[in-house]
Amino acid sequence: MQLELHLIQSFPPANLNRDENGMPKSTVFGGRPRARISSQCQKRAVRKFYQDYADLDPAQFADRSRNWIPQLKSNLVKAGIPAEQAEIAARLALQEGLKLEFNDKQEAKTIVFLGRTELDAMANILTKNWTAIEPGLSGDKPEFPTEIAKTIQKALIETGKPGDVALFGRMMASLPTVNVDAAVQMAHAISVNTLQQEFDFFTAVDDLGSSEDTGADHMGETGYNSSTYYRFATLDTEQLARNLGGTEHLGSIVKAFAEAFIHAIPSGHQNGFAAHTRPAAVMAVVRQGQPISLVDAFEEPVAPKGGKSLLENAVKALDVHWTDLTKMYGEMGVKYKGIVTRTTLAKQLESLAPVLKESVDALLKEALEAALINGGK
Amino acid sequence: MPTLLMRLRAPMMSWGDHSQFGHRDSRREPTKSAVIGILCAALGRPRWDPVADLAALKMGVRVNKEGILQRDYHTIQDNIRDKNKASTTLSERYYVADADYLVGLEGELGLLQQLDQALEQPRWQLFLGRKSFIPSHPIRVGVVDLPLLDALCHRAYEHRGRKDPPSQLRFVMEVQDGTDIRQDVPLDWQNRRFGRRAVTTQYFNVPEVICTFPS
Repeated sequence: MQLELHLIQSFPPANLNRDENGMPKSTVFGGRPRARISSQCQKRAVRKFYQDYADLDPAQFADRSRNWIPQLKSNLVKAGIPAEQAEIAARLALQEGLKLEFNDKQEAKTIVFLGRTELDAMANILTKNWTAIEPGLSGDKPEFPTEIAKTIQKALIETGKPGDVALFGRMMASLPTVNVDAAVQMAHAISVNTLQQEFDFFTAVDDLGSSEDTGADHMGETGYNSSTYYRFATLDTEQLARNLGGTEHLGSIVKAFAEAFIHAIPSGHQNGFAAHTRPAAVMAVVRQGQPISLVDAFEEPVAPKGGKSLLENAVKALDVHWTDLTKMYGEMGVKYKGIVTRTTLAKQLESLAPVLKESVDALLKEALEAALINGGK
Repeated sequence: MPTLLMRLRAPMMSWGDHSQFGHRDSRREPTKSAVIGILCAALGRPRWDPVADLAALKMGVRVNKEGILQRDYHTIQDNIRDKNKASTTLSERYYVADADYLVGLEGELGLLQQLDQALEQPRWQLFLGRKSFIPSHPIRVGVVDLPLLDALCHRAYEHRGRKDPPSQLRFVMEVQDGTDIRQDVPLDWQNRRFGRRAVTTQYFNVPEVICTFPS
């Protein structure tokens, strides 16, 4: 099942995601320039939000780190293995099992995205096979049994991945068999209105300068714009269940992701702009089959006109586009649809009016139920 | 022989066929590797499975709307090639903005029907060049009982935008011999090996009837 989230969100002047010249990113759509927030920028914000706020079992988190030896060692020590041997075994297991290389400071040469569940699985294999491993550890050149390295690799393929890795995927050059295909696709956010890029010319004055000094001590420019975005992401629950290796945590991870996508905001230039907003409209669609972005609703740029605000016209365009698509292609495997908007915007809905919900919580509850029926298949 | 038609449309799409690492270029129309990659994802066919049956299909592209080549500035921290972990790696990723394509693949009816079915219920997620470039239109159009060029010429499309529709549309067709060589025929995904094919670019007047105007 595909869980699609379609958001309309305005930002006051901001520079959330910039290019090499420090200007907010942009693109062209419908023959007009548009503001843009890249997929990768939003994904990072979502990941951070999800780790900080989600009400999840910490076992569902993963870390990008190079310091895996002490982590694995402490797992082994807890299982009753003497510290000195645990350290050697941990290093060898990571070297042989994950094909990692370490420097003198016991840090891996590359940064690795590993989950706590995966680390536990490795520790488990080591303690179970301790009698076979222990003899090789003493001596000048410690050795690690090849078959146990293979068992570790096999376990890493088969062990369910923690939520982070399962959602966003993993690519590991040293051992491609443990790569994971992401379950989330996140589109670049594109403004529904024509982009109007602005420059803020600023000067800084020396507070402690003498009275003879006139004029500015520093001058500069910051690019910014004020835009209303269409944001879109889709989550493949079947792929996610496959990555997690089961459906036990599926519901809580889908929920954590959906909430993070709705609430997370990129941190770029926020000290100077404080553009902290929430979406004005949230639409959720559960579908069997190819997900469809509704961005074409805004191919003709939206503007405040006809006595209606930009947001009112944007919500209206979304509603009209949904009707058009359904007329042309049928419902296309839609199992559930629902929308929440601010009260003043709800009047713009026609075909979606019957599925208007009270709150984001109520919408997500229903959407998740529909998406996770039969374990997401 | 019949033709499978696919509509490729999204605000951003990318069709790379020769660049690697920091600088990722894009063609102005879909590559064969991208189109076959979409079909493999729809079928749920993994990278290590053979792809020769799909690579043998004859491909043509009609450009419903020419896009604009744009660049995304992308930074990567803690990348694996970075020895001292201090610097940020820069990557320039080109993409085509605001384009719209109709792609045709000519071949045996049975295989084409199987592919068409898969596009309706794709096994894995479909995307247009990069995972974040999500279609804004159903890819599936159907199988028509016409040879490639006729199928591409006669399929109607809706014209959007303020300007009048162009009197001619650009077609990029696969041919036996030619000087415009593209190295985008997938041979082995796993080892990233690609074969070559020749294409020719032609402009055709399209009958006015094939153009519809959405309200």
